[in-house]
Amino acid sequence: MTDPAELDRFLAGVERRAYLQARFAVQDEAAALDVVQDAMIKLVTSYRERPAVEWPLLFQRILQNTIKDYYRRQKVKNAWQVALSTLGLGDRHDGDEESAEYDPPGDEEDDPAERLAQGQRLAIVEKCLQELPLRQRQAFLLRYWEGMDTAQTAEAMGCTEGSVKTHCSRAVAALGKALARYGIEL
Amino acid sequence: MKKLTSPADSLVRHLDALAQQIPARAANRLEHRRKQVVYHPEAAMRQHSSLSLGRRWLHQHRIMAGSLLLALLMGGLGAYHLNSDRQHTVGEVDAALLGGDLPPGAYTNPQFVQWLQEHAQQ
Repeated sequence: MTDPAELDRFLAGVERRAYLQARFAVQDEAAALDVVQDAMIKLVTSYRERPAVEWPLLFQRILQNTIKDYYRRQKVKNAWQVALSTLGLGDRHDGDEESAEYDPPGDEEDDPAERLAQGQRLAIVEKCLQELPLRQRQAFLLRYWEGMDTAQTAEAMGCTEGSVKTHCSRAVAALGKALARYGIEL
Repeated sequence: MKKLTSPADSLVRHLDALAQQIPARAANRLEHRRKQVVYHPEAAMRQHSSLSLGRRWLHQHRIMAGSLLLALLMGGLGAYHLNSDRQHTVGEVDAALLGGDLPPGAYTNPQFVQWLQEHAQQ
């Protein structure tokens, strides 16, 4: 029987990164929270008895699939919204359009100018990541941010290792180019 | 211009900073939902699935309303097309009546109708 506290610690350690991954993908705070919660529920209900060492990869796989499902649902929804708006019935996006502003950094940052510059750099990095195609972003985040190797990334994404390498190299090239537009060189 | 050190490392550092600076409101919601999922999974599932069901219901009804409207629109277009065909035919008959050699009153004369029937049989 798995100790809930252990599961709690694991999820607490990955939830912020998972949330950001989801937010990069769905670009909506509430939807990103739903995606992460959905992934947590699936892990807890189906895989809690699996060895803890397997959780990171399982969780990533679930998260990526949940994001993919979200995209699929959005595609259908958008098709209907286009059809309905053609008939003059389309409702505007009703999600609470909460801005993706960041909390001000903690007190450890004393220099306001540096704090502002850091905030701007982070916003630019997020914007550039959001502009990447879904698969490139997934490969990049899993491989470099989550620290997975190529095989694990391929398993989480449900594709070949070759595809992961291609997505990663394209993502790095695209990010380098995009960041250079804002004066940030890699 | 700020130059970063190495591509992946620099980006990862930025991403780590981003993760630490997500809005407090989102962080609180994440924590709340995690606790619920871990310690009260049934309740979390019920709540989540009822939310999903609600959204699906809304979505399905939106689709139904859309389908109904589409059907109405198609029906309306069909009726309009039929009506315009009929109007066109009536217009042609009116034009033939007014432009013909016989006065329109002749067609309401029962003797003329009888004469027409006799000649049609011949």
